[in-house]
Amino acid sequence: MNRTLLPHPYAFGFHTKDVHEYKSKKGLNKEIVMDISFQKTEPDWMRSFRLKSFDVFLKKSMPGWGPSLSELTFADFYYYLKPIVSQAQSWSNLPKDIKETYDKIGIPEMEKKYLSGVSAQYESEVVYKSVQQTLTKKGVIFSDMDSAVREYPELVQTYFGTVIPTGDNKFAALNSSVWSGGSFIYVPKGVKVELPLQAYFRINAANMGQFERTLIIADEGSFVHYSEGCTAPIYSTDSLHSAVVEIIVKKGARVRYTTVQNWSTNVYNLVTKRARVEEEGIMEWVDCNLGSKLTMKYPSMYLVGRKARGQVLSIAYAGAGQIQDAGAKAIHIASETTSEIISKSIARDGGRTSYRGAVKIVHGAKHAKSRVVCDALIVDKDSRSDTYPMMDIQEQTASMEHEATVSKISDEQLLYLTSRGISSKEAQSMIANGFIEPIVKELPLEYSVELNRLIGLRMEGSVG
Amino acid sequence: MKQKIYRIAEGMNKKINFIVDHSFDLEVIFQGKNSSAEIIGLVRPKPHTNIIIQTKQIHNYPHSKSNLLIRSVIPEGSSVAYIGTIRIEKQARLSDAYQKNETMLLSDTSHIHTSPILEILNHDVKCTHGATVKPISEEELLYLQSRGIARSQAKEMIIQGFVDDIINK
Repeated sequence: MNRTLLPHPYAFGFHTKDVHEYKSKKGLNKEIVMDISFQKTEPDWMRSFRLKSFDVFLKKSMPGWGPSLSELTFADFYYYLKPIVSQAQSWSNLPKDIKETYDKIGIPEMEKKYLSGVSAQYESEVVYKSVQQTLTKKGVIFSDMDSAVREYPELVQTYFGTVIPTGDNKFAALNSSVWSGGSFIYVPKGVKVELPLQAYFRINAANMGQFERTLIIADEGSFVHYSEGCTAPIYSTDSLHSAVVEIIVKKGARVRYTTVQNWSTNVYNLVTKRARVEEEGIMEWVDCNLGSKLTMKYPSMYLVGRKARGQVLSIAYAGAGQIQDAGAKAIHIASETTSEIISKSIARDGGRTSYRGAVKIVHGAKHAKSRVVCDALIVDKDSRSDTYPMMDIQEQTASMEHEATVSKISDEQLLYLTSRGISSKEAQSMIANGFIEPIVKELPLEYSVELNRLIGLRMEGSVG
Repeated sequence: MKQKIYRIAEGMNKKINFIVDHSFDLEVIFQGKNSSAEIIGLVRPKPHTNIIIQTKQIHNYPHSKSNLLIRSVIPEGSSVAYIGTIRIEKQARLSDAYQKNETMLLSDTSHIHTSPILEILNHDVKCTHGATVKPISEEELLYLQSRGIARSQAKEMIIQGFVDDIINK
């Protein structure tokens, strides 16, 4: 990758002074894994889970496909940082420094207006958490993952690592051994959480890796919408972000998981996200990737129960020096399961977008249906877009459709707008926003506003 | 595996048709401006065979045009792995590439693995691919049956239609 292109100006590229009470040594070995567990005063089962995972991590090789990860050196990162306060229950208790960081993203205002609970992750630990009383009354658990290990050991132990086993891939194994923070959600039978639950993630130290671990369990007939947005300060050295998100959608339940990923363009974002969907359950991933140097992320759904449904809506934007290798996976194991994957990507200023996806319909998944539509926009001559889908159909009664189109911004559209007095840059921005509109309208309001603004700014060249 | 490479020179138009029951590797390389190709293939392995079909449409020059349609009919115990690549090189502006892969699985033990790949290095192009796998339509079967045709014969007719349609092209 051409390093001279990095870093470029970045809207949220600020960072405040580091405040840490504990920072692990640089690099990764067994002692550091033990130490992370010790610092968190974890039960034995989690410590041994971490150590086993670390062994798996060492044995696993790097992915033999996709973009190059040769510049990634595991020894260069810090694997655990503990902020000066471990938990603050209200906004006013937060340290000034951290509060300033959040003010710049605008958390408090959003919380007042839209949020039913905020779990804001400042580096490796969740420092700020407020769950509305109504949630607790309904029996909904919304906490950070570290606390959940201590407070709900039975639930966590039952489901942790069951959707994404440690050995799934090298980065899942890495996360399993050094994970820190992330969210834990349990929604009891029949309970519908009306407002989206949100968590804000931030990396705020150079060479700092973030390894959140999120587990969502939606019990029978329940509903929850979880959303995460990431903005990170800019650094001259590469940062590693490798999360694992596991979701269990029980019979008749529905989970929507929204991500707006906007890491600064020095971050490696290598994330494993997967949902197991039982009978008549619905899983919806809305995944927007705008930032990072390299993202590799393919939200997946394993449709294991009859009539289970899965949907992935994906937006990727790659600007100078960026690679967005994003996509989705749908595995149909049961009859009458359906999946839909809609992907839209924009490559500009030498950026590179790839759609990488897999659809598998196993023998016996009678009348399973899958539909994949990928649209890619290449804005200029320096950019590139690829499509790498795989469809594996073993069932005679199944039906599968895949369609992908790569195109540029049409001259007719540009001419139409510019002839009405709109500048060429503004017109490009309008066309790009129109292109992603079908997915953006599925986002919670504050995200869609932010997304439209970001795409607009980037297309007009004022940022990035 | 049998392999065929076509190089299409400037201004040339090539029609490429094939019917195969074995593994096959086809490469069509556009070597000059305004070159074009129509590629139509029928893949019909014998029962209980596994075959691999690869096609490549490589656009090296501006204004080159390719159009590919491959239909597979897969009987019992057989599998087809199809890997179809469209690559548009940086200099091949104003190229237009199309690729379509349609499959019919005839039995409960038929298997298709399809990977249509796009690698687009120039922005000023048009490029689309599609892949479908569809069961024999229950409505079409009912229609034929309602006209006194036995179910098994109706199935044969629909499969034959899927095949003939492409042969006639």
